[in-house]
Amino acid sequence: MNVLNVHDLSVEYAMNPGVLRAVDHVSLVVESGEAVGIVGESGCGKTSLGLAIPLLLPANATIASGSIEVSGEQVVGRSEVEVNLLRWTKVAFIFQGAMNALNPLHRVDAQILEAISAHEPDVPKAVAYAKVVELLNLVGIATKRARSYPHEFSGGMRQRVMIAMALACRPALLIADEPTTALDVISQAQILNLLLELRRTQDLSLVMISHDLAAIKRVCDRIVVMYAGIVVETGTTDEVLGRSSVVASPAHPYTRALIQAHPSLRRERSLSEGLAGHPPDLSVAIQGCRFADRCPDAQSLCREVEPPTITVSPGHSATCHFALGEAS
Amino acid sequence: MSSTTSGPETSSDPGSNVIRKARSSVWRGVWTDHMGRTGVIMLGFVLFIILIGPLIFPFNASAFGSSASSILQGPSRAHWMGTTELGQDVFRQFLVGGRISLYVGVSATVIAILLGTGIGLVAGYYVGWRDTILMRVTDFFLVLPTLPLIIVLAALFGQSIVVTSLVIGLTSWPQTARIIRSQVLSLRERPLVLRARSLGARDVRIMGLHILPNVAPLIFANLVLVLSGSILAQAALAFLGLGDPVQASWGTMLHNAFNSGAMSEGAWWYVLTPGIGIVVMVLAFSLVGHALDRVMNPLRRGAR
Repeated sequence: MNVLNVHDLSVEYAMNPGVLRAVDHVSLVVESGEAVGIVGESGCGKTSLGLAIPLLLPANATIASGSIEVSGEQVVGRSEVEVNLLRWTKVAFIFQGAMNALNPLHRVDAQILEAISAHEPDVPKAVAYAKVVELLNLVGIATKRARSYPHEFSGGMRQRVMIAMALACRPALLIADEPTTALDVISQAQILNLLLELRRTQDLSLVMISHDLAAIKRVCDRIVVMYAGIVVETGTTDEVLGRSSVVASPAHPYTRALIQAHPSLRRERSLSEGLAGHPPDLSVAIQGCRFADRCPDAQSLCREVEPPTITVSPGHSATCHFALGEAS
Repeated sequence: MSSTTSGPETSSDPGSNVIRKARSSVWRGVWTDHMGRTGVIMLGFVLFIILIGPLIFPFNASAFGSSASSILQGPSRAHWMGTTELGQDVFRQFLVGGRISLYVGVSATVIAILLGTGIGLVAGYYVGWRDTILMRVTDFFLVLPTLPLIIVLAALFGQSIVVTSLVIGLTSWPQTARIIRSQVLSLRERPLVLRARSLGARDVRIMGLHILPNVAPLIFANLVLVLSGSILAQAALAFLGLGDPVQASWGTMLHNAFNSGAMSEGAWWYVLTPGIGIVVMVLAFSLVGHALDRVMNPLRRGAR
């Protein structure tokens, strides 16, 4: 069964005046045990997509179309109380800037305890507390540190606490929004290793939102590239980013540009090539391909006709006229 | 803790231990701070003499002087701080008057802080029409010339200490509301509120458990300012003759001293006694307040 089935989802923000469609008819499927990475620049709708799944969008955002099924249960249109039953038990999340999601005035064990008792009020306190300690140990925090305040922890440790909290109610799916951002490389590696291990031991499916291709490559099986609110390319990580044995074959020029912009240890030593410009303003209608203005290979066709989604190989598709090399 | 009572309940429950530890560390923090220690000593002294003093030296309001020679007498063995224009004992009146000053100051502060915190919290948390309405009301109170208003209200509603407390309390909350609101506006955008919301916490719980404790240091810092202000406001009102004539506060004593010409008679004991009392009480509260703010603000806790 798919733990997550997002179909044709659109998210709109009310602007003054008009609306901004941050997520535009996006579909996303996560199978049980799978890890899916969502990459793209800032402002491409990654976080809006992530927040929409547990219905935690800010007040000025609405879901304009589509459906979201978490473990087979429809989320869109449900009441706050009903969605609350799904949150943390079926789908848990690590927010962007999660280290600041801890209340500085409460001890970390109390905050995890809050998560457990909010969803399992019948569990006796001692049992719940034992679970807190177990969870903290699971993410590599010693029992004697459980009664610390958040400010006594490093950024990486706070991130671990958030992961522990996310696992408190044994969710099937974990959505991690930029879980390694604002951490130093050592902590990043530790958090990624932890996520990998938890995937294996806790039978967890993962949606990881990041602009860090290396992090995604390490953790995820499949990758979804978002640009200006739409999915421009999706495929296995091996196909899109390459692995030691598989040569990368990104089909969309935006994916190629993202890879180019990312420094690599193995590639020839050179300054990474940046991509000029920035994503288009989504509050005005765009004709043709959304990436055409920045695309090095753009033709007149691209500026006039919106490109179709082309299947490059089974499970690998791209939204580009030239995904197969020539205009289709 | 006594040696016999350390049963399993006390040792297995970390909560009460932690709270006790936290309390003692706040106390230690205040005590190790120079200003804080000075404030605590001053406050302890003031509270001691005005709470215990009248029990030892009761003041008899009808014990007037028997002859002209007993009026505005200087300090003597019978009257430690001299006598008033009515021949009453200044020292004993001073002890009782301090209670009135403290009572009005504290009750006005409680009113102002509750109002200011509540309004600031609601306005900052629910941006939108609730915020707009509450803030316009706050602005209205903020631009009112407070002292003339207090004088008018006190003249209208009488001169009892309850009315004085209400009037001062109802005019001192706007600054607190504004400060609390601005901090809440910033706090409500933090991920910790999103986390609480995702856990299913309702607005009241988020406000009470996650936002209010985070603005508590601000409330404390403000409380001291409001308290000092209230004591001073009460003294000013009483000095202007709007205090309760039956229950004379330190401000009323100054008023009586001024009216009876104690200043020009050179009866310094009549003026200085309540004057110094007001200064010491306000200063003590300020010093303790600053020290508490320094200790209780968790972000400043490390940098001691």
